[in-house]
Amino acid sequence: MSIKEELFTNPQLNIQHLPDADLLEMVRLEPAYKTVRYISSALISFIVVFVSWFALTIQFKEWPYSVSLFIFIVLISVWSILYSGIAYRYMGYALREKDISFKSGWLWRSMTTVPFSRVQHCDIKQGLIDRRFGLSRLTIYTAGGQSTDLMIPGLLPDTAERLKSFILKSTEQSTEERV
Amino acid sequence: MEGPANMHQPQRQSPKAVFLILLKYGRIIISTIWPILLVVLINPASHKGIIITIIVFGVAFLSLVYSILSYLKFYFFIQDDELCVRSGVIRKKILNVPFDRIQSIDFRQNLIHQFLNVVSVRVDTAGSKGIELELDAVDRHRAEELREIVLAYKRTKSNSTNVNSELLSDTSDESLAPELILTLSPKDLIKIGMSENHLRTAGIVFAFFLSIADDINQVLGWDVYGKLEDTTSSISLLGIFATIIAIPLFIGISFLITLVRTVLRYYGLKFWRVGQNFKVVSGLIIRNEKTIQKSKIQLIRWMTSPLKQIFGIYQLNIYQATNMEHQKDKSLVIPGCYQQQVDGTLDMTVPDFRKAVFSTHKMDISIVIRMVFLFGFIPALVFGIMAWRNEGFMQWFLTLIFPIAIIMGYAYQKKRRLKIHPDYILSEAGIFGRSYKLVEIHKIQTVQIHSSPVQRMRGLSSLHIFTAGGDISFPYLKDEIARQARNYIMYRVERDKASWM
Repeated sequence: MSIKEELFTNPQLNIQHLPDADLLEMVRLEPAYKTVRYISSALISFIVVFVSWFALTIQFKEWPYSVSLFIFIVLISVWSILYSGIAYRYMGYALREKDISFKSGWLWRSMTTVPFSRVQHCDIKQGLIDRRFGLSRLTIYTAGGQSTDLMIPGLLPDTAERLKSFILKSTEQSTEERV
Repeated sequence: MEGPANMHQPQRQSPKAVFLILLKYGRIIISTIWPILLVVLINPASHKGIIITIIVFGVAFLSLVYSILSYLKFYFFIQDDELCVRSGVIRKKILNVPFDRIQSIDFRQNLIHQFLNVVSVRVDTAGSKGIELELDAVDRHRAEELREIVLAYKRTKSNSTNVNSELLSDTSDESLAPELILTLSPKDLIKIGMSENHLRTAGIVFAFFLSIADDINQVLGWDVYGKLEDTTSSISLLGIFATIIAIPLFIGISFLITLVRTVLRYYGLKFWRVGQNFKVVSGLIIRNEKTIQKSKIQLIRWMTSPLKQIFGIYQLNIYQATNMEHQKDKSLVIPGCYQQQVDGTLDMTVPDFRKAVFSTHKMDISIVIRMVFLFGFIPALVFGIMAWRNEGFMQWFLTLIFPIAIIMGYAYQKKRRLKIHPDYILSEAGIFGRSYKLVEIHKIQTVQIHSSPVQRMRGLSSLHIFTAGGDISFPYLKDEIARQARNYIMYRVERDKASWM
């Protein structure tokens, strides 16, 4: 396509010059979180493989179907463990003055951006495995519904706490400005 | 209107409430003990029957006493800009709801309410789970008085705090003059009923039929599925005959059910504008009255289908900020709007929208490949294999889904549009019909951008825009456009001082 596409037909401001959230440098999650991911996905995979093995030996005795299905499940499980490790490298968050972005996913990538002025509340949680590795996860809630809640895992408890208080302070500021 | 002063006195609900409370308990009790009642009815002479009858009467008597007591102990009143409720027969309960937290006050009337001329009042609050407070039966004028007090409070509040409130400056003079936007006549109802989505009803009817077939199987030992298979798989004259009869019958039943449902839901619908609010009253057996404050509107959707286009009608949905579970419950649904009413409503809510010049963005053509693959190729492959293995003649027809998917995929791509304006985002869709979703940019909560490997190869991504009342998704958009849109939305949301609710 030769014509340069622009966001607006009559731009009031130059869209290209707006700060681009994609150009931000992402803060990577704690390296220990990679291990947490490996462990949790290995646990889930193990359960899935075990249950399917159990079910297949009881239900279907015809070997070509059951064995190939089982091999398929095992391959998927191994893949999901590997994927969780690779995907770790693509996770990260970026803080700006007025919003926070979180990136994730290796093949299927996603990036969520939440302006502080829309934050309802934040909380910090620690999963069972998280605790072993001294990590926390920060969740930022908006009124946009469950699928838009931003969860940043793999943070040091201290970082999570600082992030949280920064966000809440910014939210408060923006509501004061709004009056 | 009576002076609002007496709202500050603790008062009971309408005496008619006793009756409604009794019914409420009665329904709960009957729904829990109906198997016992059934035994009594089937075998009234037995010794056990008499004992059970006594128990039933005892329970009925106790619930009557309880109803009266709970009516006597239930008080509501207004105090210091809070709605207070004192209740509880055995344990005392006090509930205070500050006006600031009240999202909406809706009225509901079932047949008995209508007969007694009372309403049940539901008060919803922000952030909490669902309905905060419900009054079973209040005289209509009382309920309206209550709502007016809360609304008046909100008006003065927003007038005094909003510095740049051009939106609210004209509230005081026009606030109380209701303006009727739409009223549905029986003819309109039939139009709506005829043009509703019959496929959906057909699905429900089909599922119902299957579940009944299951029951018949279990209870009577009939093999309904077996019989069905016999009739459908053998190309006997009887089988064809049965199919020819069954299909129109099926369609006819679905059609009738949709029509009845439409009449029940939308009978006597009236759509008003009252100052800064929209109000909808509708329903035959259960009469609902819902109000949305204009400033709380998050997303507006209007759509038409080929059948609706024949009549020139649209369905208009107005969504407000609420927790997602109650989204359906809390949105205003106004079917049977003509273009004029849709435009009128838009002019009232988003004044500049119809004059706005949008930049239009289309979906990349590769969405067609994806859709055809998912909804055409894979199903066709499955049906094809099935037909080949079963040597079923009829099943080959199902592979026609492949060419159909191609046509529909193209139609979808052609009609799907994302339109962006400095203040609004409009999403257009529809294969056969047309559907529009509109959000104001300063109401947006979050933006997400997703991309799959295939999308990245072609420089595309999916844009998702979330508000507190619904979302707009636009897949297969040029990555550059998606990012610019996101950056612009963030720019606006972070600078705009206007409140999103």
